[in-house]
Amino acid sequence: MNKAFLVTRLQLQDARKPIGIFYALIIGLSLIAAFSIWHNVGEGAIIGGIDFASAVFVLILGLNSFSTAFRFTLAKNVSRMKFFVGTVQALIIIAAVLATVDTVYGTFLRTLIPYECLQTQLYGTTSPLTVLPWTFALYTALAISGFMITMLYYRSNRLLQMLISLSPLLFYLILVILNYLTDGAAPRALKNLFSTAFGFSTSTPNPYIAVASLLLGAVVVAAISFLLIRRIAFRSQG
Amino acid sequence: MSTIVFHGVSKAYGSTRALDNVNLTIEPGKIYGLLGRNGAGKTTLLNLLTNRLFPTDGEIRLDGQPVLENDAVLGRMFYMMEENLYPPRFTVKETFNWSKIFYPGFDMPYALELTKKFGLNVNKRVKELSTGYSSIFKAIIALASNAEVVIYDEPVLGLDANHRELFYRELIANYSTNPKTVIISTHLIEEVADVLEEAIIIKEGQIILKQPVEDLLARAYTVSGEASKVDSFAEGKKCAGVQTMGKFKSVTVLEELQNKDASLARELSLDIGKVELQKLFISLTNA
Repeated sequence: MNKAFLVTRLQLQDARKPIGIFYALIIGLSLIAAFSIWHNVGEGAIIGGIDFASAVFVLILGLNSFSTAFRFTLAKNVSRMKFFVGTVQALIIIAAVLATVDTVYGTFLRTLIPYECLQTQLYGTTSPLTVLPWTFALYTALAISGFMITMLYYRSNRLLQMLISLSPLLFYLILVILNYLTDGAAPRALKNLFSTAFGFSTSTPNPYIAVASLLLGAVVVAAISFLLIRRIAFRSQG
Repeated sequence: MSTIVFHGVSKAYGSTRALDNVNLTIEPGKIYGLLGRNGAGKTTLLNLLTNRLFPTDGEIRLDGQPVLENDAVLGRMFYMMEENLYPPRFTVKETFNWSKIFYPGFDMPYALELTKKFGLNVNKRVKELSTGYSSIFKAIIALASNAEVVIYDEPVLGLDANHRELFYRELIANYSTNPKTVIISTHLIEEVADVLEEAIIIKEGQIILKQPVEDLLARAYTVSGEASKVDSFAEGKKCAGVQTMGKFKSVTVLEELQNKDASLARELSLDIGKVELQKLFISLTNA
């Protein structure tokens, strides 16, 4: 069998248990929320955030998909190319499964309690036909980003690792400086870019533009990941 | 057939050259000992052979095919590293199952039989294994892998004498029933000497010798006795590994023993002895 598929199988088996625990928690918490609403505790409240939790979870899965699996596949003499392809395949499958479960569970939950998924809150749509591709694109982009971040860490020295850890803060600082230097023009341009990329610049917010942008982003991040992994050397942890 | 050829292979880490222009051919169906002092470049050489590292210069080929990122070629080799690369949460059995998936030739019944012989609990997690059992666990996977080229880096690390003996016995039995190319990198030269067919000695990143162990031992001998007499015997001969204890001296002569030298030794009341691989190694790598 193609070794990339074996890597996919390994990664999926690895993710099975955490996914099970995650959804057990999600179902448990949403049932508590539902009972609270049915018993008039927090009346008028709207429940949401399942897909936000899934987005964070999928990012963590991406972050965990590199180090251990890479070492194991090295022990089995798998090439970096096959490891990369196998892992990206696995992350896409995980993103698709999670997006489907969240969409179906969200639709089901809406029949019981006032529930709003992330997309409904942002775009005002509830149709599974728009929720599913948007959620899938978001999860895919996040999972592959997580994969890339750990690879960056693996390839970096301590100084670079620190810079990567501080990058959100550095980005914020750069933004503040740019805001000062350009009299607000730079952050406005950035905001406009995000609005356009996520489909908010049209008269009616269009989630399909966000789907295209997120998938394009995922492809770019995957390409960077490939460049990072193709010459990655074994590092001893001993 | 699984001929490995290193062609002008170098590996640099910054300004340090771990390997320097290595040209080496490893013929199929032999047990090689890769011997060298700490930091000589043994592990770097093996890591390059198995695509864990990239050479700075040169190329490595297996049967004419480059090993670099070549799954077809890499799948024909198995490398038991000194470091444990297996996921700590996996049990021994789970790791065997995954080994079977990645190496379809992996002999599961044989692996399970070996766990019984070595007393390894298959339900234990990798992270729970002691240093010795971690070596046993990795060695069992290597022995059962059925790869054409099996490489062992310090295979008996942390093993007690009984387990080391058992490992060498299993290695020879496995090799006899299923001939393959075996490369063993170890510091325990005396122990492994009887197992090896050919020795590759690496020093400061360069291959200084590659020869059948039998030939190597035949082309050297030790001479010992009174220091002044040993000195007079050794004059003009290629010598190494001088050991002096009071008036007693022992020298390793790196030449084949000639009849006239044997007579001279008798005249001088000196003892001629066989050189041990370990002593020869020390002589060669100290020189």
